[in-house]
Amino acid sequence: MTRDDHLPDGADLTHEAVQELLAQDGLASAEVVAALAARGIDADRLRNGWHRIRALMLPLTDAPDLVPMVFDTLELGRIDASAALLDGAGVAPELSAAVMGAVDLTFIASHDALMEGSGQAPELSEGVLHDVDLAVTRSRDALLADSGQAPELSEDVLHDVELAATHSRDALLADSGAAPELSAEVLAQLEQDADLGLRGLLLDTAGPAPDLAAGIFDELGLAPAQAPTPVVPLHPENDAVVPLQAPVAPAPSRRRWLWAVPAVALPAVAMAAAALIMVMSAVVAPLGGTSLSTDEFGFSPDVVNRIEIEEISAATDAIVHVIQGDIDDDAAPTIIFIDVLEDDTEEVESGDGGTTL
Amino acid sequence: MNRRTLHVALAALLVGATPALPDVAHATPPAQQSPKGKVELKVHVIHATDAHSRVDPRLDKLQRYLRHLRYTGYELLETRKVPLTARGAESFTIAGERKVRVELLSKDAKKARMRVKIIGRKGQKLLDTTLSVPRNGTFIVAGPKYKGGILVLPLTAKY
Repeated sequence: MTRDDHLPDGADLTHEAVQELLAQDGLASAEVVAALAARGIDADRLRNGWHRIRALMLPLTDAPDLVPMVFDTLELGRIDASAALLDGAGVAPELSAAVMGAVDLTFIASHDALMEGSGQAPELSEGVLHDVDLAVTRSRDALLADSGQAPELSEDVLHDVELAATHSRDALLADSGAAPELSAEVLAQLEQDADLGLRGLLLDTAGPAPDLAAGIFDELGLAPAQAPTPVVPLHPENDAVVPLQAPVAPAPSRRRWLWAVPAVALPAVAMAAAALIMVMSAVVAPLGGTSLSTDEFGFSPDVVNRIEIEEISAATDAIVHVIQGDIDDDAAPTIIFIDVLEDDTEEVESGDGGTTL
Repeated sequence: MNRRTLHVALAALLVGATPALPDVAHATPPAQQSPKGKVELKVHVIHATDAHSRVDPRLDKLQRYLRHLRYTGYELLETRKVPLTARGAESFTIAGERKVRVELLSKDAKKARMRVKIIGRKGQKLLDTTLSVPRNGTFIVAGPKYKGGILVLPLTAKY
């Protein structure tokens, strides 16, 4: 036999030519066997390998358990095997790190395959996330995207997904309505100051005459017997009369009854009663009260608050910055910020009693 | 001394000092206090701090602008109504022993021109500015340090 008789198109004993011969006659020709032997190739071994390949390829499924030896035997490129595995493995193949390592599957490919079909909230364990090098960020976004306003995320989950507490707090509070029933523990976790938010919410909806229990009076620092006691102005003759304007809250307020004392001409004898009113106002006001109505508070967003500065100077140890506010917001007040360079914080407890110079 | 106790003490002090206090401390009804030609300067003294995250609800409308100062908590310490006339300047002391001196220079239907001085605890002139504020407009002076934070003074020229 000549080479031309047995090898197609006069080709040499190339890989393709041998494969074709194998497919045709299984390397039955003595000449071919001799030619292979001349090149150091055992035709029987080659034939056996070819049969094994055929046997393996025929029942090949989308996810064969291929070990590296099989790849070597089949002379398959690992990329192809990887593609074959993924094509038929579905959107969330349960590939262990060992399998991925065996098929040289890149984590990226697996990651994408996992995420594409895994829906909005894949139940991926931390271990899987780590194996596939899945960024925690994506998992967090996926979890939060459809979790609604108040996802019931446990502390562990929050920690795992590195969810900022702020997110959770905002989500919880956004739709929690006027009086969310948040436990002290939840408030603490959310860093929500119950002293402000809840108290304001509770009081704002409490109406003008809330039924305050003794315990609440205690919390507010009020004595129940003192609060509703009206002050009766006294006008004994020869007493010095000092005009005193009690603060008035025009809008209905939960503490209106506290302020419902008319302006009185207050004789010295009634100073104690006036003192009681003032003490009560001083106690209530910092507790979120509205001793100043909106009108009494000077700032109004309905007027132009931008000022014109003709001259401005500061001490040598201070720098003045002028912040004109938002150009699109006429209500934004100009801020003159004094940056005091020298330490001027040697502060004493200020009396602030309104001393007029 | 906690804040509540402090306020009680301050209120008691305020009442005790009532006969000696002028209009600055005790506002009379606007009709009597702000005759024609006067400007009532409303001065709010706010303590901005990072020590807490409470914002006084009375500062609700102003809160969005206070954010520029980047503090977490804002507490309204006091409010003053200072009647300004062309006769002279008005001075008063605010928290941290700072003094504020305001002088009405002129006004028309649209704006009031005034001079504002802030004097530090050591007598140094922290700020001296002449400016025009729109009628009923508000501007803010901020920066003097106070109890780990700063003082913020929104000033409104009402007339």
